[in-house]
Amino acid sequence: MQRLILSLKRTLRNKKNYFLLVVLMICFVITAVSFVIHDNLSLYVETAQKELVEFRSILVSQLDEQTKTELLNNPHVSYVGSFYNLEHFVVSEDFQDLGYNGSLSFRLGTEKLVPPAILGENLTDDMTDSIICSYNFFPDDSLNYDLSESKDFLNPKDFLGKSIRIHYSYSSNNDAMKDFTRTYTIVGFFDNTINQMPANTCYLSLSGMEAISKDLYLDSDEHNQNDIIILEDPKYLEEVSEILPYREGGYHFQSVMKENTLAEYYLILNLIVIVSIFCSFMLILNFIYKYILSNLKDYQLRVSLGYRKKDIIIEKILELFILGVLGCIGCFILYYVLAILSNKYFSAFFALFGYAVKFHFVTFILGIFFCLILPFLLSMFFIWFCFGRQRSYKFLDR
Amino acid sequence: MSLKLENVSKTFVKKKENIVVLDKVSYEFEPGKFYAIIGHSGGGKSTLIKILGLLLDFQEGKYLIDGRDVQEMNETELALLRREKIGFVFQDYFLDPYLKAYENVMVPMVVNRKIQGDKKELALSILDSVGLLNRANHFPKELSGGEQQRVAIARAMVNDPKYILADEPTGNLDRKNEKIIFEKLKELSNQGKGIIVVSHSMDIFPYADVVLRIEDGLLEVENAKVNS
Repeated sequence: MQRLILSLKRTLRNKKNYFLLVVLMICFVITAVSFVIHDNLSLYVETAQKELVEFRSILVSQLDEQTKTELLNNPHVSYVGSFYNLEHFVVSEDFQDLGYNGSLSFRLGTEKLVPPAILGENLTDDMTDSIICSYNFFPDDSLNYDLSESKDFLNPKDFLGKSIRIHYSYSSNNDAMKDFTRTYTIVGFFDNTINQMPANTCYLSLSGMEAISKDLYLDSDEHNQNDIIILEDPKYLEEVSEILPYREGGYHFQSVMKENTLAEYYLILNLIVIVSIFCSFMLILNFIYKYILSNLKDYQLRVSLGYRKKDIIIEKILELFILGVLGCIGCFILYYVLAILSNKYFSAFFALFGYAVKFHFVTFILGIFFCLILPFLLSMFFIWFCFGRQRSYKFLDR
Repeated sequence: MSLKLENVSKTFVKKKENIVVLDKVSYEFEPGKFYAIIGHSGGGKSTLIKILGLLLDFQEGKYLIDGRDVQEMNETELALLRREKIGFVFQDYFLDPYLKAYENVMVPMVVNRKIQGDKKELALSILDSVGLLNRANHFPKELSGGEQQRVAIARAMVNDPKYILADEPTGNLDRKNEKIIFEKLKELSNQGKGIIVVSHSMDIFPYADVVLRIEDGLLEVENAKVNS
């Protein structure tokens, strides 16, 4: 017991130990956060990979009739039509049970018709009454919704399958404002930041586009309508674009996310984890190694005081254990604070990447294992190795 | 309990060259006497005291403690001898900077199961005997060199060893503190402990019962008083 007390006093009074603990905690955070990043982003990449639909639309300004005909005759073109860029309003009474009252502005997506959904499902051409919304569509300032009063980040998953009523208003040829209402089901969410779209953008399917066009086309006098070409397959993008009239700077084609890009993502994610583990591990091991070396004279002094090697090893392991426990407590507090900060204050930021980042206990354990347990075990081995079978103690040579 | 060296030789190898530090040294140390070992630097004084303190092996000869050859002893037996029979004092004190004076004195006790009772009380009484009771709660850096060396002596005394070996104990001290240390060691010698001190200081002569000189690895008795 007295040995433990002396070890405790020696460990706590040594300021170098606190420096070691700070280094240890920094390394732990780097390692644990790399696990968290890997955990969350790999989920995102996996989801994106599964749900990935390559873009197959070309947005053009007004097409002439000849080009339209030529496009329609092309076997790879599935749709050529116009759509409108209008302001609409959502009546959000359907969401009152989730704490929303009010309305928000809403407009049709104008650049892509088939975006990859990161949550839920993608639109297929025959889904007339379904929409895909932006992921951060709901925690938007335009909603009468106070985030600070919410205990947790509002999960967009709660809105999957819910209905939303969109109220269209437009001016007709006879100058009278007309309107109609359609009800859509939210089937998925997309990442608007990657697609560089406003948060209040949503996507409609081809048949959904056609349905609105049918309602609006005949008597609308809106002039900001655009034409869009939808292909059977993205691989025909270049071929079809040759039919289009020359345009300076070319046409804006939606980029295609290839499988090897996803593989690169995985590689990067894995590298982040491996590098952070390696760096943390080596750094901590180096510190502990120096710590042990700096105490070598102390160990050997104990030999002269009648300590057996076993006694010295026990004492030093006891000190490392005390440091380890302190480190564990410190790391746990730090991890907890980070988890609270990320979940409470940075949830909206993490949502931009598609997920509410969660700090799993497993990542804490992994961080502790790589930054504490493994280096400390190696240090113990090192202490044992140091005292090996030597019978002479050269430390006393000045 | 006697410490007996029989033709002990110690050779160091440096750059493939053998350097003989002790050359067939024979001598028997007895308790209750104050031995001073003097000689030039590199003469083998420190090597001899480390061998006596069981901190260094040697190549030839025998070192007998109470008739037992130390080279036949295992690690645990050597540790027990160092713990119970021999106390060591160093020139650089080697006090733990993170422990208070009385805690430093307790360090050898925590592994000694033979010591019964309150170890803190015992440490304080030993500190009292070296005149440092009022400094018991001070850390080494708060003590002067002389006081630190007295704490080191208290630490060496705490397991009640038969011998106290001191390697240049006054090397870092002024004459006033040197005198205090030698007087304390002499007092311990008078109490029946064998004191073996390596020193450069000529001021040790009045305290020493036996003065041994080491030159080029050879040990010779320079002066021996009649033991009172």
